[in-house]
Amino acid sequence: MISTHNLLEASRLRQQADSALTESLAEEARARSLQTTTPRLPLPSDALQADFARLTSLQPFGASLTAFLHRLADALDTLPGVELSALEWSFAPDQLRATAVIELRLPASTVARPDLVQHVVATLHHHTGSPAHGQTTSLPDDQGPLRSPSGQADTDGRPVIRLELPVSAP
Amino acid sequence: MIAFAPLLTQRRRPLIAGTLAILAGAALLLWGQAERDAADAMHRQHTIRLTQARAMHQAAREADTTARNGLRQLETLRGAGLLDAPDRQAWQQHLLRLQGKLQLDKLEWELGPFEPTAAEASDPSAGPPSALRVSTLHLKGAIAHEGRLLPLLERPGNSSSGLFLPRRCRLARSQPVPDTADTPTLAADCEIDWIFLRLPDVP
Repeated sequence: MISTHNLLEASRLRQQADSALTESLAEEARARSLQTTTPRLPLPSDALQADFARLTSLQPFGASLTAFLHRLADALDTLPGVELSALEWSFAPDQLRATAVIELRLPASTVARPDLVQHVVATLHHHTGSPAHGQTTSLPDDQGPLRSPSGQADTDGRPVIRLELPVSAP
Repeated sequence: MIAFAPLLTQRRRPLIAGTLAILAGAALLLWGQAERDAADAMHRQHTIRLTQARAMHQAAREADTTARNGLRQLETLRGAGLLDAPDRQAWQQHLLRLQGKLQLDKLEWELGPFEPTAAEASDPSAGPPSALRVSTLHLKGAIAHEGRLLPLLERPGNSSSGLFLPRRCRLARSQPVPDTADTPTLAADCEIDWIFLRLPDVP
């Protein structure tokens, strides 16, 4: 009785083993077939993925300086008497962030227009799409120069403001 | 003892037959158990092989998907010209032409050789080795106004290869009002990277 049970069980196990073997051989054949049709890459796939991600993230910044200069020129065209005296552009590839620090020389008549700085900042924001930081909000009054920490006067006595603008990809 | 001997002689055959039957039963039992054990071992062995084959097939599928994605990425990069090495000689000619046309006598420039990108050069162990290469243009000097700078920040006319990326640029006006329209009053110091992905040479 026990022996018969063992033999029946052995037979069942052999059938299952044969079935597993058949399936294994089929899986192995499918894997080999797939391996032969899989295209070969010229670079390791992880290196390619990393370089692809880096290039596609950098790509939008390719024209960012030129586009920013055009937008800045458009903004300055609407601000008579305001001149660009310095610009410092930097792009940090690792942080995917571009920053422009601009120095603007304001008209000598700025005293007569205490809202000019705010107007300049608003105009820059409108044209470049970037909020400017570090702007001066206090202007010289008739009792002498009163400047913000970021404001100063250049040699011809015209006020100068220095603004930092984060630049997004176009 | 004398009476027992004839009894044994008389029952000898059944005893032998019974003993043989017991031995045969035991042998059958052992054989059945051995068969079961052997079948069980074979089943386990083939089940392990099946698991490994499935894993191998799954890995092959994933490798295939990754490779095909990689090919698509390469095609995207190729379409954008990012697999083509920038032509440094054409860039040099472009700069020389612009310099002559715009009278940029006080402008110096240098086109660097192709090198690994800064991230790769600074920390090669940071990740998989990058195939990105960069040539950097360093411009320094004085120009009349910002408008003269713009053509220098653009890639040479017909070239669509690589990624042209102004990385740093500093402009500073040296005097408020120029004497003439072409008087260089703007100091410029800029660096522009030209990046591409260099594929290994096919043997």
